[in-house]
Amino acid sequence: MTNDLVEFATDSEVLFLIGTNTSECHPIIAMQMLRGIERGAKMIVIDPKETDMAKKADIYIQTPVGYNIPLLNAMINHIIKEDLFDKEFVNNYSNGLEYVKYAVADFTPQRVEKETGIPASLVIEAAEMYAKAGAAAICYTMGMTQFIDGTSNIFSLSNLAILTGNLGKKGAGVNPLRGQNNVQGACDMGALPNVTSAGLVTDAGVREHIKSIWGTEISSKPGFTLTQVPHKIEEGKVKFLYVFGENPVMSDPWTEHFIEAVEKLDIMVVQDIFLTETAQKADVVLPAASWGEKDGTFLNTSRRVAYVSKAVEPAAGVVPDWKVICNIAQRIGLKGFDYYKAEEIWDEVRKINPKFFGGLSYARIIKENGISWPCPDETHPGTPVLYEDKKSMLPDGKFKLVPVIYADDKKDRASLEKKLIDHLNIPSDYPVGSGALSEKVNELYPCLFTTGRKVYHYHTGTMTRECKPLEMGADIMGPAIEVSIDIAEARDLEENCYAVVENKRGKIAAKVKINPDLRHGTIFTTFHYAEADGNELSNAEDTDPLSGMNPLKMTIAAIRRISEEEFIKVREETDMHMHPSEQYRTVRR
Amino acid sequence: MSLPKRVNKFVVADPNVCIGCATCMAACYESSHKRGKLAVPRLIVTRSKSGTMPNQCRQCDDAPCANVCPVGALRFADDNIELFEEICIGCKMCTLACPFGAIRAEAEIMPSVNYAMEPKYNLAIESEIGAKSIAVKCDLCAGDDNGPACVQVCPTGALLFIDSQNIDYKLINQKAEGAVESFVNTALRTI
Repeated sequence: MTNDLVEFATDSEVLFLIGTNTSECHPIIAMQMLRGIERGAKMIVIDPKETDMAKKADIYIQTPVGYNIPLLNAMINHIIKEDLFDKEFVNNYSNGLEYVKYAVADFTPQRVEKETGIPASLVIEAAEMYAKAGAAAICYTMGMTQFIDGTSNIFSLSNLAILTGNLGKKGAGVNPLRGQNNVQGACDMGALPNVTSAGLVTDAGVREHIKSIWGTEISSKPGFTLTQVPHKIEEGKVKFLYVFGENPVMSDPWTEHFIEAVEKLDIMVVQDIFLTETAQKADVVLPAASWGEKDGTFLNTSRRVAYVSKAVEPAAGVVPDWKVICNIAQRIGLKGFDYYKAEEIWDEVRKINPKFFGGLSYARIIKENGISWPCPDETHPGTPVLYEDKKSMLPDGKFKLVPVIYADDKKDRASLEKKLIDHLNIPSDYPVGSGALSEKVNELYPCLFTTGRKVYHYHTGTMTRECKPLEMGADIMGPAIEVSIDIAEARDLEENCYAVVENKRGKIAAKVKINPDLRHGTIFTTFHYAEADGNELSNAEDTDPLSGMNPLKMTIAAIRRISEEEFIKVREETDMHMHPSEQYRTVRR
Repeated sequence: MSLPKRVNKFVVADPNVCIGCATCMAACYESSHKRGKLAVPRLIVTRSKSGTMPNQCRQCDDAPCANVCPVGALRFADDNIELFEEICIGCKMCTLACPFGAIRAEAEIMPSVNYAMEPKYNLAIESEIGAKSIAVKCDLCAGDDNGPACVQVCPTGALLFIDSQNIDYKLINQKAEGAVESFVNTALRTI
């Protein structure tokens, strides 16, 4: 996030929510937003599902799943055409206005109306509300990123913010609401295939700097992305998999494919606090202390580093994750893994990236109850609002407006991008984005299928499904297939009847919930429940060309009603197929 | 002789403040479990077309459920409608009579069940494994000195615990003032 989440309550004049179900997935952030609305802020919500936030919004636009770029481009088009953009900011602090102008020329609010039925007036109203606000915050989550054009979706959002000058001021900015309390931290620590906590591994200067601290050369080759792993296992390029704090059997797309792939591994090690679905497939399972049993820091969505101290002692013989990894490294014979406590590791991080973390000593973080990076020295107050000096982090200090185009067929994306680059003479190091749908509905699979969370559970339920008040108290519904009204009517589905959803990758069976909040032709299900995990159907073949992300939020599927006997049969079959060796059952299964 | 002022205590939510996080349901489960009652939530976060809020027993002063209960399991108490779980026969008459959908028949799950087949979501009306279902409704956390658990845990303060002492200032006064103001400001001027 470029800004701090508390600013939604205190400073934002317009909240622009797209692809986020904030009140269910980020209740605390939603609370700050509601405080803002009470103060008089306006809210725009764009989502295929009429979420609780959408019901409280001033403008709600119900888009088809994956229809983001044409809509955002139409809004940008209107803002440019009506001269609503911040000329001072655009001229002085950004590049690429003429590229974007050209790229959005074909996208009009009228085109959106023609293609989707969303009234052009509504698109115009939203664009004007956003552009005319003093401080407007864009908030988005996986409903923007988990597509084959996820990166380009975010290019479009940053275009909106740059054009309207909504950067570097309180209550504005581009704000990805991170799904976990430490996603931002994990990325900042270099838990990505191409970065270290000091920068890209492909950068010789970064490698040199790390060598000066670690004393060893690091590889200049980026690793595989998470989404590549099952394919690389099949190709024989990955033979050893070490999973910790993650449950990819449920969270990765196309479960069946993933399960078959991991069978081919030489060895799989899983380190977790519970015996997850993935741990049940592992050759070695290592226990670890849970978050309440260890000291350390979390780095949240506002880039705020906060200290957490253990509440209870872990069970005898169980140590924190970092210690487990250090123990393994020492057995291998690697040097430098002789930390005594978490603080030493953090101090090393501060040395590796002094620009961001230099001033964040444990003593200061504890005393000031959390500080946002960048914080280069002990006297620096931290930076809750990025870019207040209107300088980007790019070498020339300017913000880039990225032209984003849209292809009707995903195969045409590269050639359309090339055409645009040639036509406008765009330099080769300047980014260009493009969008397309990963799959289109057809006769065999006539429904759009999307996944998401419910408020009761967290991700794959590793922790929350072990918690009785959540599993049996809050979540009385259990796994359900949510369908829009038209799907239910066309297929004679009733509330609480059983249904099976299938596509070429798999099938899941669960009870039906008819949800009038869903856009027509849409099926929604969660990935919390091993017995009916939406990711069994997710698309694992297509990826975003820039980030490698799979379109987890979008695939196509068919649905039909089944009897109770059939339901039990499907459940037993998939359960046996997916978890053949499973002996372990707890409260949640 | 004067009649005692008698308004039943009740818990109610403000849908404008509720974010639908269901923490109240988790707390309700925990409280009922702790107090030795049937361990199921007594308030249900209900998501409707127009908004979201938890729905629970309104403790009606002339409660249809207590009027209709054939065995006297639901009774009029001093300031609420009491439920005696042990004598409930699970006839569901109260479910039919309740105008708010706030009372339902439930049973606790058995530890021996294979949950993969999810019978726990099946127990509401009749049980495959013979667990007797009984009426479940908000009992205002009777027995807990701190009052209703849901009100205590609500992160946004959407849940209110109303009794005859605070009903005026929590629910009535502000709206009454608003009504008078709007009458003075608009209705009177246009006459």
